[in-house]
Amino acid sequence: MLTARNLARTIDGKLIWNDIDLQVMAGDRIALRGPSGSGKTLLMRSLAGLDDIDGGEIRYMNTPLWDWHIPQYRKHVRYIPQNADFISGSVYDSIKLFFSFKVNRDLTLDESRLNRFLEILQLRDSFLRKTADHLSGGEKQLVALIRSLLLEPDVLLLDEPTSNLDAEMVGRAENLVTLWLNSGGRRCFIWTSHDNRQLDRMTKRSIELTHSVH
Amino acid sequence: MDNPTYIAIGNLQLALAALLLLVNIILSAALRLGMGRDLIVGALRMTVQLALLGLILEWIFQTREPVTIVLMALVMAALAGIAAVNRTSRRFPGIFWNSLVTIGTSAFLVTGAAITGILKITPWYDPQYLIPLLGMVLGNALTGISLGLDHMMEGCIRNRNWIETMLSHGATRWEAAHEQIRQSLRTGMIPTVNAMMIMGIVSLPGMMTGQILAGADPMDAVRYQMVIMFMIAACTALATLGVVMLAYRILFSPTHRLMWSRISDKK
Repeated sequence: MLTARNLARTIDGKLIWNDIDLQVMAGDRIALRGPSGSGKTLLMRSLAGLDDIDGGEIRYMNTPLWDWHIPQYRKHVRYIPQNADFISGSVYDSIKLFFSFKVNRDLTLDESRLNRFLEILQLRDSFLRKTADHLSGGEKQLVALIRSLLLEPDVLLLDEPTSNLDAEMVGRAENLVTLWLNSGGRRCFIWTSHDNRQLDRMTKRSIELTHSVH
Repeated sequence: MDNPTYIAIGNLQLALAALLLLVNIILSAALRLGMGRDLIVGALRMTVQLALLGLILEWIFQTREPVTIVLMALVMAALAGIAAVNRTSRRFPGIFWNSLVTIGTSAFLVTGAAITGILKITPWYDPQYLIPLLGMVLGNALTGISLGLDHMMEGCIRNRNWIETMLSHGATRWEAAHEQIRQSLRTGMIPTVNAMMIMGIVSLPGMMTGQILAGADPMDAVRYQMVIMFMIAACTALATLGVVMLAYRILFSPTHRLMWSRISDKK
């Protein structure tokens, strides 16, 4: 579904990565590994069309990224940034808002699925009424995860999605993602984490970024 | 002004008024409040700047040459445009052009409409009307522009994560920027809206006070004040909207990305 060939990126003349090839198929669970500073986040952002590449090509469904109407592309390939945030309103508002974007209007917020997600994460209903300033970093990560899964991506790019959660909650979040992956459609994800054991648990194969830039 | 109905101020009167401030400076020195220096610098700057302005205005009022007057107006607009950017704490490429274009366009549109369409002043370049009206409009648009720009840049940096989360889930650049744009416009308009809210209750507007001191009928002065406030509000809204929209086009690319790296700190 998502393919990349010969991707390269330099910053200020320094090569961050090059010759990156990847092929993501339905059902894939891929780890993006590499030492810190190797440009994992940058690669994720490039795959989401949020950052430039200096060489190579990204295609989704055989159409090059830059031939897509970018919001339409991002409807299929959704990226959860590191430390995903929201600023105003309640958790529920911040989820609802995303369904109002033009490309997402054919999707409806499925309340029963939302409640099911809360159950899996063992969160109370009142969680939905909390406002941004009353949430911890970890809780914001959960909001971002729930929101992205409800928006039914084909390819989900997860950048350190559980870095601020405690061990128990990490397990529940992993269960949630696995459940989403297995509940139909042509779904797949790429996951980065500092926790290699998490990557071993959650993914089947890896992309390695070896260059470390310091 | 052959027969002024007001008392002309001589040098002696000026010196006496300055004495009022001197009392405070002595007080500040005696109590070691450290306010003396700022007060002296401020008072000196004000005196020199206004004296220079007086000289220029006298000259322009005498020549009544449209080219000179328009030139003066352009210089005023340019200074306001630059000052607006200098008050912000961050920069992006083209920020000065943005400010100059918007403040120029909005101030000349609004002042032009008021002079030719509403006040019907002949000739249109009569400096007695053009210069003060333009000056007041520019001064307020300047505040709107600097507040709007500052809020827009600050918002894009502070809420970068949130904006990119929206973008990466299919929001168009307009959808992702909308909240920042809305708040920037609001912030830019706050001083103008507040001024209108309290005008005549808490504050006696400067222009109106001036006209009354110059012997105008209070009701006439009030009418002038209303017209100028409408002009100020219209121009500030237009200028703030213009500059925020131009900033939006630079900070959000057509490929629906937030170009946060274009924002830099003031050097």
